[in-house]
Amino acid sequence: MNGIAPAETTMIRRLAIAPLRLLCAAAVASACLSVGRAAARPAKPPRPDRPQTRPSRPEQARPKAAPTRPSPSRSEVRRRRQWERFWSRPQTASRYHSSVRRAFAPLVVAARKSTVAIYCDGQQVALGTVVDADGHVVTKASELDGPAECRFHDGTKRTARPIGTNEKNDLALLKVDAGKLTPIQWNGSDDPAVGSWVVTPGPGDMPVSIGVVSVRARRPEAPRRPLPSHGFLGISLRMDTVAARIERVHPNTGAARAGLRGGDVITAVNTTAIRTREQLMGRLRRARPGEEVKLKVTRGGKKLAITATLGRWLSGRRLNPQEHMGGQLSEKIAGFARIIQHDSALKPSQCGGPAIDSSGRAVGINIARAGRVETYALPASLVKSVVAELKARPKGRNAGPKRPGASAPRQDEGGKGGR
Amino acid sequence: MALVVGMLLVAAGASAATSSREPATRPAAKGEKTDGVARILAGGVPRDVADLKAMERRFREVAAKVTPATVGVVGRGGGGSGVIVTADGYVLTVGHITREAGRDVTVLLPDGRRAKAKTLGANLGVDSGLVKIVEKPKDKGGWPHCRMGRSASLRQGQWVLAAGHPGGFRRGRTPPVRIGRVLRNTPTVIVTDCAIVSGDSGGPLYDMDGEVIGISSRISGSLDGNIHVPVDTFRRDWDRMVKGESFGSRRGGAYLGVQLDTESGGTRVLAVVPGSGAAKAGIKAGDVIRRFGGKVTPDRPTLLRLIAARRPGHKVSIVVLRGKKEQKLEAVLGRRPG
Repeated sequence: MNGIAPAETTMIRRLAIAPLRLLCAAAVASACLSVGRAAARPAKPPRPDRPQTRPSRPEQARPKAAPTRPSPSRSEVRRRRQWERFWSRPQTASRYHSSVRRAFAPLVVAARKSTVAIYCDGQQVALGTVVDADGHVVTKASELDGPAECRFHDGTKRTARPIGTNEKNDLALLKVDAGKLTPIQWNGSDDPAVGSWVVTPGPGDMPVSIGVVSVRARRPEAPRRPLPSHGFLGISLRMDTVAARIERVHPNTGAARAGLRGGDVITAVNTTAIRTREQLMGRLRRARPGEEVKLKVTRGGKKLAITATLGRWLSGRRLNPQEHMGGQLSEKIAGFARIIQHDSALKPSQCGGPAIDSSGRAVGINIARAGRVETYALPASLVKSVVAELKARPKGRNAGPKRPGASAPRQDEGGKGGR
Repeated sequence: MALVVGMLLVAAGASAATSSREPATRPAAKGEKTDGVARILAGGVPRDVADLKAMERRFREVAAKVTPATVGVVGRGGGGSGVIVTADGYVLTVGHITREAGRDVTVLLPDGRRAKAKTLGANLGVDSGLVKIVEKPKDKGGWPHCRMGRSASLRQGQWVLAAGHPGGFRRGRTPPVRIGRVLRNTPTVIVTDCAIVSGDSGGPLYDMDGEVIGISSRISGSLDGNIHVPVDTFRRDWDRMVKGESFGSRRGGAYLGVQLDTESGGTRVLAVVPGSGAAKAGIKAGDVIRRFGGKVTPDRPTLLRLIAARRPGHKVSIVVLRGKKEQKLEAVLGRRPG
């Protein structure tokens, strides 16, 4: 049950210490079961507007072995067809559709000039925010794993060197050598009302994501049951496929040392067969730091056996598996001093840039995708004070004020977050 | 042969037979210009920044209005969210939280108040459930509440707002608000792209007039698979649920095939459905089911819950007490007909 996300799950949350139980709601489960079983159904192309696709049910991976069932009634067939039509219909009436996002383009015209994409090793790992004309850029520290390159709205690329890090709030200050840059315009008020738009610009002309403030600026609650460290492998998984396919191997991690590569599909961890992303994440979450795992990997059609030793990563919060059904989450999602919570769907690699409001000015910096329904931004005032602190004390690791018991990411073997 | 164990328990302490829900009339529009933003909120797309600002004004208004009535509902063994819809404290939530009537639950209000409540009936087919606060409200105006709207007229693309307590009720955190649009509207489900997650079960879905038009129930994998119970089902089933009736079945769910002795509330088998997983496993009338899947089943609700947590095709070990001896049996669960 751990790590397996049924296509239909109800959201009752247990208060007891026992693990959360996911009930399958049958009224729609029959429909979803039938969608999974329809082997003739054409594969859906990945939609660029949507962060991820629906994970398939385990039945889809084994098209033959269905247990014998009575043949479906006419009404069941009708219901099945309705659901198939629904899921394959293009979602134009959605909040995520480009026709909605387009209306926000005028709001990001200024802010995109102060937004960069941060690349490490040729891949975008985060967005970044230009905070002054001299070339200081702030971004999400835990996504950086090597020399960073900033790519600007006009196509220019500049190497960035690290100036300092505030671990508690996961902010890194970088410096690019560039001519006069356009610093982000902060909003004087960084506590927008619930229901206010939050727009995430990128270097491009369309916003990366739009959403609304879900909870006003607050000091986040301490995790009720701080999760003990679990072993981490050091990979990011591709979100546009059901299988556990590696998108990126983080340097200096157990995955890198074991020789895993981007594109590899993990099909087993020790004796557990892995068919979906969620299964892999769930299985790895149960592993311990230092544990040696035997992985079955498919690479370019070839089957390989790779042994990896897991590293250590401190998670901030115990999460219900349903929180992962909506896209990959950032590694560090807790311990921040103050957050504005909004419902934009961002990938971890889309955090670190400004979060602007309907005036076009930044109310904060997106700092974490923390769950299926929540993304956090650090308020502008907090970012400004951290930046000032880091500028005053360059070349240092700046921990910032720590709350007792607050968890902060610890980096082992020079590695960083991953799964 | 459908086998539904109907439970006609009268809810002890539930308020009198008169259901005091108010008719859902649209509140009079304020003096604002309604044409432009009304068209968008009804299912259109914003064209410019002026539209965005008008939408934002409405989102903020609705969010402020609906927050006080968006409650947590917690009971033994779990919890979720709900919404108070009448001044005397009727709370809409989901059937998989209320389950059977007469259970004690607590309603948690965002302002910090706690109120004792009792579960009433449920329609387990659509997953609707009703709860009634049994304490008297301190304010003259009664408990903070939002009116029930109408779900039949929801249009595809219509903008809606979801609230609830994802991850469980947390003091110091107002119920997070999310917006989205109606993707699909049928008599039994509303599907939106308002992201909801564990803990949001039972939480309200509002239209942009601040009326409750759905109750969040479950999700499927992607961010556009958020499923809500249409509020019209609550209207239709209101009288039955107030009386404490829990009815309906979750079609297609796991099915053992035993008729249990409802009077004792225990797990004594009255009859076994021929050809069912129970029959093939050798369960007989008179057996008392002691363990299901390794877990102790002291009463009927526990057994039903354990069965519901499985899927058709699951093999499960069952221990029954037959006469004075315990028998260990193995059953393959079938699919609930209906």
